[in-house]
Amino acid sequence: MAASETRVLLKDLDLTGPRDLDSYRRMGGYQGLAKCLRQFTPDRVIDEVKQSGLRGRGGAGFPTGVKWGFVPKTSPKPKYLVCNADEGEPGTCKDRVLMQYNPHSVIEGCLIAAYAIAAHHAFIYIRGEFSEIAEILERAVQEAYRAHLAGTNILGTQYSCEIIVYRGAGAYICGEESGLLTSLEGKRGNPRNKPPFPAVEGLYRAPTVVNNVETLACLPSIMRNGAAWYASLGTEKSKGTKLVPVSGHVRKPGVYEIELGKITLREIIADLARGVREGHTIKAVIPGGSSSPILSADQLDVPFDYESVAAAGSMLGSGAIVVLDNTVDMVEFALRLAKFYAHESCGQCTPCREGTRWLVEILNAIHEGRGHPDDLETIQKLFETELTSICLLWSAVVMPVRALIEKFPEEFRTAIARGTPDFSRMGQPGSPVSVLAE
Amino acid sequence: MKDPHRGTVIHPRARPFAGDAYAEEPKRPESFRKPVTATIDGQSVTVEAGTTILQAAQILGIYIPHYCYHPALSIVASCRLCLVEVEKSPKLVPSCSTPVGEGQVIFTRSDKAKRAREQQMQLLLINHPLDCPVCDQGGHCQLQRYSMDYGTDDSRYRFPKRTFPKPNLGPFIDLERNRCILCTRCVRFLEEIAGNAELAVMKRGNDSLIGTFLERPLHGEFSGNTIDLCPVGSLTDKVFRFRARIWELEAKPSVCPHCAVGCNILLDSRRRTHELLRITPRTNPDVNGPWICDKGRFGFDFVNSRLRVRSPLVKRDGELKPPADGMDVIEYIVAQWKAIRDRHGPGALAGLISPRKTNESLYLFQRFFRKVIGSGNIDHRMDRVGLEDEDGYLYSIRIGARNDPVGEVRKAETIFILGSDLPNELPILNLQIRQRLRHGATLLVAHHQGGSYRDLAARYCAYHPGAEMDFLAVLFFLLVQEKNVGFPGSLIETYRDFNSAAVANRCGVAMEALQNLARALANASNATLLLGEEAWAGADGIQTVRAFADMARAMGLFNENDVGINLLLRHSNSRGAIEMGVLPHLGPGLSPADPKGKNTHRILQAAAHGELKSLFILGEDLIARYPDRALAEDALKRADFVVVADTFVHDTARAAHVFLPIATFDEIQGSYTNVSGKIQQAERVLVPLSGTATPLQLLQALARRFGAEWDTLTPPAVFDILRRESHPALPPNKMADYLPFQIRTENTEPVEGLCLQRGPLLFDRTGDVIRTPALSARSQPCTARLSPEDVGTLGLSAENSIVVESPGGRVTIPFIMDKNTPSGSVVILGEYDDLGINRLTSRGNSRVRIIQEGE
Ligand SMILES: Cc1cc2nc3c(=O)[nH]c(=O)nc-3n(C[C@H](O)[C@H](O)[C@H](O)COP(=O)(O)O)c2cc1C
Ligand code: SF4
Ligand code: SF4
Ligand code: SF4
Ligand code: FES
Repeated sequence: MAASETRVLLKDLDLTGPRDLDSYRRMGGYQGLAKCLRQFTPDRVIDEVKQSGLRGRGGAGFPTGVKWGFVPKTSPKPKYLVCNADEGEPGTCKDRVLMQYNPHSVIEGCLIAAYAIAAHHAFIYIRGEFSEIAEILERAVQEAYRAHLAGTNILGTQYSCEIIVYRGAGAYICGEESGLLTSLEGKRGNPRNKPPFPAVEGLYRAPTVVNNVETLACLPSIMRNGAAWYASLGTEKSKGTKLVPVSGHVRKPGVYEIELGKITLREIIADLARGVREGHTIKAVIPGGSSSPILSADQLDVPFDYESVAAAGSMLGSGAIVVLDNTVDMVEFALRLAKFYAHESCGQCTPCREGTRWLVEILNAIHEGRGHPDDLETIQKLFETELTSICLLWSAVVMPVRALIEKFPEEFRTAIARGTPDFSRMGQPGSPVSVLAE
Repeated sequence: MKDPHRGTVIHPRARPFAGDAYAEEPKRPESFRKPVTATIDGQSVTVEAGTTILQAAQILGIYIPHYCYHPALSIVASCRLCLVEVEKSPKLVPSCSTPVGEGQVIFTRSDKAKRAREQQMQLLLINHPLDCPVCDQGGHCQLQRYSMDYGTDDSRYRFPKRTFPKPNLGPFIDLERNRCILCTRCVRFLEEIAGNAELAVMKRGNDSLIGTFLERPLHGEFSGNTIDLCPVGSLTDKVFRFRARIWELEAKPSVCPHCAVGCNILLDSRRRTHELLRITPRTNPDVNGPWICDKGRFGFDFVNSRLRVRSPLVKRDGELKPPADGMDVIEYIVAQWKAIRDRHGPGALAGLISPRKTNESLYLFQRFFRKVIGSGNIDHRMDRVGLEDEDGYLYSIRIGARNDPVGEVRKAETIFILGSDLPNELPILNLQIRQRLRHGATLLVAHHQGGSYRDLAARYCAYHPGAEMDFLAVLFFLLVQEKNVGFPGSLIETYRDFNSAAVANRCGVAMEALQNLARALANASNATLLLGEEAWAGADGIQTVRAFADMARAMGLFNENDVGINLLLRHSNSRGAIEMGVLPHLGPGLSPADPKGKNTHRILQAAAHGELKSLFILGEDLIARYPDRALAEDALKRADFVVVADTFVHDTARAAHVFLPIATFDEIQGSYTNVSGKIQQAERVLVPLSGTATPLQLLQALARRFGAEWDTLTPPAVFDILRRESHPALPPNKMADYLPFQIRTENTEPVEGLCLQRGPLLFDRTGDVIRTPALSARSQPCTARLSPEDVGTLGLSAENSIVVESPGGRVTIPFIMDKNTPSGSVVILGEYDDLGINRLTSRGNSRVRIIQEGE
């Protein structure tokens, strides 16, 4: 029997356009918020979310309720909720679907989270390239204001919260939560050192919770149907459903929703995305967005949940699956990845600013047939600096490239050998050394 | 190191690395509010909670290398050089930003920490050009130093190095981006301390570069400090560039000669070539902290000028020429003076000396005139016209004014400035004010034109030129109401028939603005009141000081010792000149002068009328400086015998019969008293240029020929005497009660023409500046500011210059339309010796006519 999707977030999705407020409400929308505001204290909301087992969908998989619990209740400063809609990682394209077709689920999620942490401002930081989606969101926010679902005295209760849609300028690094906050403050989006974490010192140095779009979109149904219902989905430690964008060499790329742990990577690729092209085989798979370490073709039977993917040596990350078939040159692929991260590094800290470009230089040289026998050792030494950077962008390139070299060492060695000058022919016409000398 | 023959020489190795956190003594608190104890490299240390690991290590004397961290700047922890290992922490932590945790065990030299440092060093070096042989930072560079101490000799990088285009940041600073390690100290300094974020990181990732908006040159007044802050050779001193290697330099402590703050500096010289080559700040927490302004840093090359005169000059056939062989110039001068004294009495001789000379020179100058010549005609006030001997400043001393602006600003929460465009007068004080504002202090300003603080001040009141007294009268009146202290009895007479609305109207400030200012002052805590020279030196100066003191009193800013007003001075030793008694009516320590004499204006008048026969002018281009230029010219023309001693031949020198070349500030040992009364010693860095003499040597030689026994008066000996004599002898008549003051009753009737307003400008063009290429290049062009209305009425076109004309003369300069200039006024800021703007104010004139050039 072919494995299938489990749709919660994407339930009854209508691809003709954004779901408006009325139809969203007809489908039970804003009931979760109403329940929170009328029946639950903020602490109770946090408890519910803890019990639901919801984990952050932005990449790190940190338990959402626990994160909210870090917000210091006694702080005299204002608290802020920020929805991270900067979705920019290669392969990851799940948040946009939610915002584009079901914007109110994101808005309701923002309000529930804001209420839980006693914030009166919720910012949706959306990446600059999503200009149409930003307009959809803005229109939805206006709808919500008009229906007293946002602004002062929401649904006639004492609770008030402003929602602000803020457009970024298209830098990937502004998806990193502290870079996002710096950018939101109107500055250059440089990430900050942690600790202090945003929950303690975030936007304008006030306690701030940053959550991913998908994370927040899970909240309405959790609140409406109860934590136990959500916790009944998924596995022991990976609860609920997850959006899985599948891209690369598959026949039916797209965003799918699966129940965590109840389906394997191979099933997602084969049954949902219809497998690779005729006459091709899977060479490797990236299971959780471009920064997760690659898995080889023999590792695909891993159930798709946080623990199992981690046990296989990778991470679930954003859940974005990229499938590479046998036509892919791993050196070129590593180069492509490295170029992306080099381009997106903010350049603030030494290891990442210098390391990303060095890595590109080496991989480019290997790829162009100018490799050097020491190159892999150089890369390995360079990667020792992985944990010395300010934010995780540097790790985000180290991890996948390291895995590529570990899993496909021969491809790298062959490419290097291709480029190593044959010293016996040194000086003769056409030898690489003489080419260099010209 | 103190060498009796050479003074204090700072050995190159002992010269602190700019911005090295370890250059400053670590703070070791006596007691703790919340102590935290940790172990660093096996040593236990207890610190206040919140102290960073780096600071704690510093207390233990454990050195942790750091680039981006600087104690005066915000922490970004981006260079990753200061990483240390903390037990049980999976990652290395940046010690500059991580607070010490209770019971933490920290290793700064574990293998892991060492290796991480090596790696960061390697990464910083892969793109570095390694052009140390031609880099000015070489020999004093944190990159060289840390490469030695923390790097490896193993470089695996085999690709072309990244290169960047080279911008032109103006005459002061050279930016060599290829050497930049992107620590962002420069960016943070300009944003956080200087308050003008001119430098920023442009682009991103590996393309990141330091730059200005559209690659424009830097415009701030403090940009030079980024040179010191830059740990590598990326930002270097353009003026010093390629002139010497650092190890050739001899550094000695001195005091900046450019303004009354008296920043502490180090002078770098090379004796072999007799050159002063560089000026850097010397940290003094009580004066300038670790900073100096660009004028102080780059304003020295005039001392190396080839135009410096190297022999006395005597006027023959209408021209100054070297003396004939065998002529003893000193003998000649003394003979002339004796003859004049014998014929006309000592009162026919007068002396004027610049308030930028050392206390020792000033002291001996007045002593020479009073004791040796017997004339009391001396003064140091050459940049303003005043008929009275007494002025607002002297009066403030009598009533016990606090007069410590530098110290007061440092702790102020509210700063009120009246009558000063402070940023153009006392730059480092401006820097300190800006820092206070960053810490939440409030700035209140009242000034007569579009001063520099217009945008920064919480309240800014612009009164009509010369209307300080009217303004203060209303302000005090409102303040008393706000404070609810009851109207002081002693002022009832002063305020009889007072119509506050009418007076406010007369001074041109809206009643509401005055009310707001009064309220802000009334509610201020920890306020500091500053009174600028424009206010205390005007015709109403003394009255202004009285009203200002009353205001301080109403605000509770007084005690049995002093009253909390602080008068500002401009020149590097203005205060010393007062305390040394270079005044017609007061001697050292403000004792009654003996004999009494004439002040500058009366001296010049007497000379112009032929009553006064001889003038001795030391260290000032009187003609260029004196607002009544025509009077100065007449006086010098009419006098029988004029002696000028200075560094260059200027207009005043050309009018002299004898010119004596003197040594420059770096060649003179002596003390200066800053605006806050702090006496600071400057060492002699180079011997006086051959053929020149220090003012002290000169005065001694003259005195000797007069038969006075002055040979023992070396600078230290003079200092001893003046210390004894210059303590203000006047017991301040304490401010026992509110001081009545006079409010003008008449209204000024409108006059023909436009009113010319002058004011200071930091980067203008005076004599020394013209001979300092870097300052000259930085100087702002001289312009006339006009209100848009006047530009319209006069039908001026911005394409052509304008002619500003008064009965005293005319100057042709460009104009700018400035909405902050009140209509009916022309504002010309700064001194331009080459243009002679003071022609326009000859004969006390303040009205000018404007026509378009070529009409
Ligand atoms: C380099 C980098 C880029 C990131 N980009 C995104 C992003 O585009 N969207 C997102 O939700 N989280 C992104 N994250 C993760 C965020 O930092 C943060 O963990 C997340 O927004 C937290 O939300 P969650 O707890 O709901 O997952 C990024 C992290 C890194 C290190
Ligand atoms: S790791 Fe890269 S992206 Fe992150 S702060 Fe450092 S330079 Fe910027
Ligand atoms: S120019 Fe100097 S101070 Fe500025 S970022 Fe570069 S290295 Fe640091
Ligand atoms: S503030 Fe004044 S004393 Fe200080 S460096 Fe500048 S000019 Fe010199
Ligand atoms: S000095 Fe700490 S990271 Fe730069």
